[in-house]
Amino acid sequence: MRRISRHTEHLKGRLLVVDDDLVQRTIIGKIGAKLGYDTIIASTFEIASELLKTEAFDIMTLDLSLGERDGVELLRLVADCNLHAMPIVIISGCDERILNSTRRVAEGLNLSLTSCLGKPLNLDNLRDSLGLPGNALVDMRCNAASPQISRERIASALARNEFSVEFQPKIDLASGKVIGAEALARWQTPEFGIMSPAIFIPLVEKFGLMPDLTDQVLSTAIANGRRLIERNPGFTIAVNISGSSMADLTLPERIERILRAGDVAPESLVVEVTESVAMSDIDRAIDILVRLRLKGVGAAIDDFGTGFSSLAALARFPFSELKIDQSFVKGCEADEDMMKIVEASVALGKAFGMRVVAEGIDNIRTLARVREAGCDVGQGYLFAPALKLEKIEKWTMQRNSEEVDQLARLEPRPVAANRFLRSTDRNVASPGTTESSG
Amino acid sequence: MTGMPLFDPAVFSELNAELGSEDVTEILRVFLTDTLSKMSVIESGMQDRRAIKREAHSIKSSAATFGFAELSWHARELELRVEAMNSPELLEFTQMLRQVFERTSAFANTSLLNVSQEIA
Repeated sequence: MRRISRHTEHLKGRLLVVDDDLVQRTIIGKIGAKLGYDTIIASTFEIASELLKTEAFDIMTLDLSLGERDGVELLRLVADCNLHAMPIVIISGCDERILNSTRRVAEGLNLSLTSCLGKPLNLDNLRDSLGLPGNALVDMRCNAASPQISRERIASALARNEFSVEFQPKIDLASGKVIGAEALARWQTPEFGIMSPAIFIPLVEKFGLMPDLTDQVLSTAIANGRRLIERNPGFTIAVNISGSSMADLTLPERIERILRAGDVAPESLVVEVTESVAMSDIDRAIDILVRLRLKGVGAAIDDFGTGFSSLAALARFPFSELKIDQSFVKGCEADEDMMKIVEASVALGKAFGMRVVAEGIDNIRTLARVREAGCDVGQGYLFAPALKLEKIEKWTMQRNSEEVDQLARLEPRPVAANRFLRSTDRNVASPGTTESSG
Repeated sequence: MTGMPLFDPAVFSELNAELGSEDVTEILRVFLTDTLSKMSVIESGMQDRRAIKREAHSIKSSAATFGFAELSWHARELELRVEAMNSPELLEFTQMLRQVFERTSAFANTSLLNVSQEIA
C-alpha cells in the first residue's frame, strides 16, 4: 500500500486506486493527487479488501484484472460493505463485451459505476471520470420490509374490491397509435398505502387465493377496458396470469364466463404468461393455452429471454405475441450485445408468426433502434406509465384521433423525449388544449 | 520490421503535459525497472503461458502510455498468440521482444531521462 497526498490545497476527497500494474497505478495515483485527492494505492485484492473494510473512500478506481483474483470479486465485496454510493471507475484492457457484462454485474449489485475506461488509459477520460464524483447517481433502492399480512386480510380485500387495475398503453410502432393496454393489478390499502404486486402476489399465491384475485383482476380489466375496445378497432386488453392459475384447468371456462358477462369478444383479450410459469406445469399450461387460443383469446409470452427455457417455451406453446423483456430493451441502443438479443428475438417471433413487443422503451434512441430491429409494438415510459382508467381513455382518444404520425414527432432529437412526456401529461390533464407539434 | 515507430513523441508530450516532467521521469524509471522484471518472468516462464500472457498484457498497455509503440505492438502480439505458439516460436518471439525492449530502454535513458547508458 502506498499513500500519495494531494497536490492541491483543497481536499477533494479520498481516492482508492486498486491496480496490480505498478506503472498504471502510479499514473492514476499521480493524476488523482493532482486533482486534489488523498490517494491510497492497493496493489492486490487482499490489500484493497482490507482497506475497504477499515477506511472510508469517496471514489475508487478498479482494474478488472488483479492477478489471480479479479475485479468482479472486489465489486461484490464493495456491495457487501454497503458502499453503494461510492463512485467506481472501472479500468480494463479487456474487450468491450467483458466491460459491458461487468457494467451489468455492477448494476445488479446496485453499485455506482461512473465509467469504464479501456487501456492504454486515455488520461483525459481518466481525469474526467475522477473529476465528477458526487454527481454519481446514488441509487439506493429502499427495501421496505414487507408488512405482515394475513390470509384473512387478503380475503377481505377481495371481498371489498380493494384491488383495482391500471393500464399501460401498447403502441403500434408503425403508426404510433395505441392498439392495446396491459392491465396491472393495484392494491390500495388503508393501512399500508398502495402495495406493489411484487409484495402482494406472492402472498396471494401462498394463501391459495390466486383464482379469486385472477378472476377479480380479469373482470375489472374487462369491464374497465370495454370502452377502449369499443372505440378503438382491434384494441386488446392484456392480463397477467400467474403460476397457480396456469395449472388450474378451470381457467378457460372462467375467462369465457367473464368475457361473456362483460360482453367483450375473446379476440380483445390477451393473457400474458411468463415462460417460467408456462414451463412449471407444461402439460396443464399447454392444455389451458390451446383452449384459450381456440376460443380466440390471444396469448403472450412475457419477459421473454429471462428464464431458462425461452426457446422450448416458444416451440411448445401456441403463443401469438412475444414480449421482449425490458432488461434487453433498456439501453439497447448503446449496447451491441443487448441489440443482438433484441434482433434475434424479433427474428424468432417473426419465424413463429408472432407479434413482437418491446417492453421498457424509455427514450427515443431506444425507440429508433427497436423499430429498426422490426418490433411491431412498444411499451414503456417514453409513451406512458401505467395510467388510471380515465387517463388512458383520454390519452388514447387524443392520440388515436389525430392524423399525424405520433412517432414521427418523437424522432428528431433527444430533447424531444422530455418535452413529449411533459406535453402528454398536460394533455391528459386538460384534453381540450391543442398542442403545436414540432 | 513492423513498420511501428519505436517512439511516438506526441503521446509522451501529452503525458508530460498532464503530469509534469518530474512525475513523468519518476514513472518512466518505474516503468523501465518494472518491465525489466516482467521480461525475466516472460523469459523464464516458458512453461507457464498464462503468466506470459499476463505480463505481456501489462507491458502492452504501459508501453503505450509512454508512446513506446513498437514495444507495445510486440507485447500485444505475444499476448494474443502465446497460447498458440510452439516452443521454438515462443523462444524466437521472446528474444525479439527482449531486443525491442533493450532498444526502447536505451532510447529512454539517453533521450528522455538524459542519462548516458551505462555499459555493464
